[in-house]
Amino acid sequence: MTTSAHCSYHPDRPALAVCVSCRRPICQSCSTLWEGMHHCAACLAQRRAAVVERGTAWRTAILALLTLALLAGTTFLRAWLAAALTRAF
Amino acid sequence: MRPAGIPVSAVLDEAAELVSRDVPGWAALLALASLPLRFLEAHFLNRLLQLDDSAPQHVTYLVSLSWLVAFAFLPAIWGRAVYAHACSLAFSGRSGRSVSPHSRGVPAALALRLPLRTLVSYAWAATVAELLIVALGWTWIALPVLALYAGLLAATAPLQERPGLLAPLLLPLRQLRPVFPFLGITSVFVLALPIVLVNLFALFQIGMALATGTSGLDLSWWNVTLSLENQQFVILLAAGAVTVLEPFWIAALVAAVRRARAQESGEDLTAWFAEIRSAELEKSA
Repeated sequence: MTTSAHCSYHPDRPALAVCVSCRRPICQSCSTLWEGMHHCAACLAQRRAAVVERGTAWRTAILALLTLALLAGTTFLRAWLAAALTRAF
Repeated sequence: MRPAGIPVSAVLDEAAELVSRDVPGWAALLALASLPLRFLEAHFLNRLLQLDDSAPQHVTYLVSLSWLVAFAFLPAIWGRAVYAHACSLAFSGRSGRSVSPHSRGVPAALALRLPLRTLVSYAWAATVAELLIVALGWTWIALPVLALYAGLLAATAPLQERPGLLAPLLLPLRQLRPVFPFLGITSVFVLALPIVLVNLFALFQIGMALATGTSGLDLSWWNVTLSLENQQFVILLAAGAVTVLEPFWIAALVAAVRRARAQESGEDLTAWFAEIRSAELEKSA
């Protein structure tokens, strides 16, 4: 995809493509081909941040569940171990 | 020449000054958040000692008590994470970053702004530490080491950036370079615990003496309750001593971790160089 306009980030350079996300004309050095489509650096950074944030949210949720499960395990262990130790000593 | 290493006395002085001048409100919040946990742990231990040989027949009762301890554990770890964050911010303020060095105290909006991922990572690591304390604490020898690990977890809680299974557990171990200052700090606090306990007991005794002298009331029941023969009172005194020491303990570890990280990154040398430069400039002026 090519346009006759100038690059949004480098006005002195001719635009060779349009970013599929923000629709800005971009030059060759600003364009990244991803899944066969042109993207500008800013839009790619936004997508990456969103993916990282989504991943972190999932990890946080899973870790919170694991924490609660471990806390429940600790609860039973405390009671059982305490009872067993009073018998042993 | 600037002395190398982390001097334990300097760290303790720094922590005492921080708690008394910069974060007394946050220390009170930590104590309030930890009190239910400490008292329920004391109650659990007291009931266990009372049950003695018959404890195996009352496992269901002990489990129900243990659940109460687990519920009280959650606000306590929140309190620890917020307090460690407030300490870090106060130290940053002193070194002229983030918080104004001229303002006393840490703004609530800043200290309470802990990302959820940081809190969850710390909660996970603190629960693992609690499991280790439950499993190995009865050996007594493991207790100081586990207390150091749990304290370091709190001190490094604001540094937890990405949630994971192992990263939050390993982060405190990476700060243990050099290890001896941390062992020194732990030894000081282990020695301080019975001293605080004796002081708390003396405080109760002074209160009793004053009450007897001024009111003329019959305080024989209180005399029995607040005596060292009362097992429950001694356990509660120990819980109180831990609650009193905890803010100083975490502040000292935050200070030590900051110094260790500064040494590793060379930040301490930069600060030292800046000090020399300013002293030279003052001399020449």
